[in-house]
Amino acid sequence: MASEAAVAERHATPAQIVPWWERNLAWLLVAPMIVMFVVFALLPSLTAILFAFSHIKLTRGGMQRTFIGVDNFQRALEDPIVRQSAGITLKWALVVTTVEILLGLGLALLLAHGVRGRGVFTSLLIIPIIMPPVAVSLMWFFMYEPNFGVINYLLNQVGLPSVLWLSDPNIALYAMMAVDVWQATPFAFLLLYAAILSLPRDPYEAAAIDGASRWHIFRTVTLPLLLPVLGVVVLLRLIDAARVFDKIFVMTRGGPGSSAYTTTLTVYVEAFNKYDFGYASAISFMFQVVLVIFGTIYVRRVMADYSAPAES
Amino acid sequence: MMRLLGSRGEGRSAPVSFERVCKRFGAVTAVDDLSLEVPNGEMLVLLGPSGCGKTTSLRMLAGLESITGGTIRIGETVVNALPPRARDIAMVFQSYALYSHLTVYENLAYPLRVRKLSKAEIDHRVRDVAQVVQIEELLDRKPRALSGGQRQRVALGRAIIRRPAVFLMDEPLSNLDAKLRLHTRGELKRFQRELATTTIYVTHDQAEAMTLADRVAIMNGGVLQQVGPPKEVYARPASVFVAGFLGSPPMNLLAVEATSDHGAPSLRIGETPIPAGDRLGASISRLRTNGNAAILGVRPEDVVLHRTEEPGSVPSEVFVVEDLGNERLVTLNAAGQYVVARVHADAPAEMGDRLWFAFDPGRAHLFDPLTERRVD
Repeated sequence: MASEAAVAERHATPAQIVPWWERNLAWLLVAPMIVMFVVFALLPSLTAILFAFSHIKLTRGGMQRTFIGVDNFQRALEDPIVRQSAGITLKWALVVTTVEILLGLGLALLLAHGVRGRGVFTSLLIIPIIMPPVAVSLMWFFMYEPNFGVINYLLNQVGLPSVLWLSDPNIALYAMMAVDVWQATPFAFLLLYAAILSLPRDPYEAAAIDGASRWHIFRTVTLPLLLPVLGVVVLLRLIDAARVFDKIFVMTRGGPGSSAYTTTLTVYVEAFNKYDFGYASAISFMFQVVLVIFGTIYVRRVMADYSAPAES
Repeated sequence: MMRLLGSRGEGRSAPVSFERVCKRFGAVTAVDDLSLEVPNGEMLVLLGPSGCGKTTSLRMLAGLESITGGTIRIGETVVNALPPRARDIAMVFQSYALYSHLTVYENLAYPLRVRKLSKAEIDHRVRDVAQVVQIEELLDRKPRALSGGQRQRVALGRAIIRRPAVFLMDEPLSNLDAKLRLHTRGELKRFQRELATTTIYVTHDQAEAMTLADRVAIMNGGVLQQVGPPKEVYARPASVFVAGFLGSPPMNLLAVEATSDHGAPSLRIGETPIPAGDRLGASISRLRTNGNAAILGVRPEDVVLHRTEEPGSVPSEVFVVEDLGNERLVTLNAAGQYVVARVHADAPAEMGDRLWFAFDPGRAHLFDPLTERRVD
C-alpha cells in the first residue's frame, strides 16, 4: 500500500518535482539551432519569395516595394540572359560532375588495388578539399595569367604558344571547370575509395573462381556494388556544381562578356550591379525550385533502386 | 587456357590430395602439416571450431590463399601455383556471393559466359540446372527478391552448372534458419550422391558434418586430429579434443587414477575404485604416463543412474536437470568433477538429489593425459 501511494504521488505532480527547464530540455537544446535557422534561413527565404513578386526601388528614404504579381517570373522566362545562363549552368554541372566522378573512381580503384604510398597520396588529395574556394580561385587565377602565369610559362618551355586561359570566351569556361575538377575530384575519390574498401570480398572470390577478367569483374561486381554510393556522389556533386559562384566570380566575374554567366552569376549581377532585387529574387527562386524538383526526382527514381538492403 | 580448364575433361570428378600442407600468416601457423587424401567422388567434411584452419585449408585448395609449404593436387595436377579459375573447381560461399544486379538466369550463366560457351549451350544448361535445383520459376528474378533458401539454391546451381572436378563448400547452410537448414542439408546430400563429384565441405556444425560426410576430418589449432567415417570418429575418438567436440552433449571426460584392486586393473574416480574389465584393463597397461593419471571418456548415453549404491557406482549429487522433452540431461557433481547423463524423460532426478552413477567399462574410452591421444 505504501509503495502504491508513493507511485501515485510521483505520477500526480510531476511539475512540482521536475523543474521547468528539465521538462523542456529538448526544446532548450535545439533552441539555438532554431533561432539560427529562422533568422538566417527562413526569414531571408520568405523575404526573397516576397521580393520575387514585387518591384523593389531603392530610394533615399529607404526601400519601396510594389506588388507586381508574376511579372518578374514572366520576364525571367523570356530573358535571353537567363536562358543562356541556365544552359551554361547545366553544361557546367554535367561536365564537372562527369569528369570528377570518372577521375575519382579511377583514382579510388587504383589506390584500393594496393599502390605503394597510398597513405601519403590520400593525405595529399585532401588538401584541395580543405582549401577555401576563393583561395583556390586566386591561386589558379595567377597560374592562368597569360604573361607571367606558370601554366603559359611551362607551355612556352616545351615550345607551345601561350593561351589566353581566362580571356578567350571559347576557353575560359573550361579553364574554370578544370579548377572545379581540381578541387572537387578528391571529394568523389574519398567517398568512392571508402566504399570500395568496404565492399564484401566473397563476390570477388566467386568471380575469380568463375574465371572472370578484370574488366568483367569491374562491370559485374564492383560497379553494381558501388552504385548506391555512386548515386549519392553524383547527386551531391551535381547540386553543388550547379550552385557554382565563387570560382567564376573571382576569376572572370562571369566573363569574358557573359560567356561564363551561370545562373548564380546572373542573380548576382541583377541584384548587386543593377539593384533589381525583385527580379534577382525571382530568378533565384526559380533556380531553387528546379534544384529541389531535380533532387526529389533523383532520390525517388534513381536512388530508390539501390535503397533496398544490399545483397551479396 | 582452355587446355588448362579441360585438362581432365569437363564433367569429370577428380580426387584431391593435401601433402604436408602448411599455411603461415606471419608468425601464426593457421594450418600445420596437413596431409589428407580425398578419393574421387567422396564428400569430405572439414569440421572444427572457428580458427581451426578448416576454412584456410579450403581456400588454399580454391587458390584464394597462397600455400606456404607442401603440395595440393587435384587429380594428377599440382595446383599450388595455379590461379583459381584454372583449378576446375566451383565454390559455394556462406554469403552465397551472388551477383546482385544480375538475374538468377544470368547468375547461373555467368561461369559459362566467362568461358565463352555458345548461347544455345548456355541456355540449355541453365534450364537444366534450374530444374535440378528447382528454381525454374525464379530465373527472371534478381537475388534481392529471393528468400535465403532460394538464394542458396542459386548459389548451388551456379556451382554445379560448371560440372567442375571438385566442389568446395564454405558453411553453405549457416545463413539459413534452423528448419530450412535441416531440409537443405538432406537435399545437399542427395545432390552430392547423384552428381558423384568430389566435395570438400567446411562447417563448425557437427550435426551437419555427421549427416553429410562420407568421411569427417576434424581439425583443431591448425592440426588435423582425426579422419574417418562419422560413425567411426564418434565411436573411437582419437584424441581428447575429438571426444570433447563430437556429440551433443559431448563425451564426459574425467580425471581418473589407474590402480589395481587385488591384482585386477581398476580406475579410481575420486575415492571410488571401479573394476576396469578386460578391454579397459588392457588399455591401462598401455598408458605411457609416469604416475597413474589417466583421462576417462564416457558418453552421456552410457551413464546409468542409480538411486542407491551399487557395486562399481560412484556417489554424486545432482547439480542440474535439463528436460529436452523426449529425454533429460542430468548433470552430476562427483567429487568436484561434472558428469552429464542422458536419461529417459521419466527418470527421477531433482536438483540436490544424491545419486550413484555407473557405466559399462567396455564402452568407455581411455586417453593419455600427456599426449591427449586415445589409448587402446
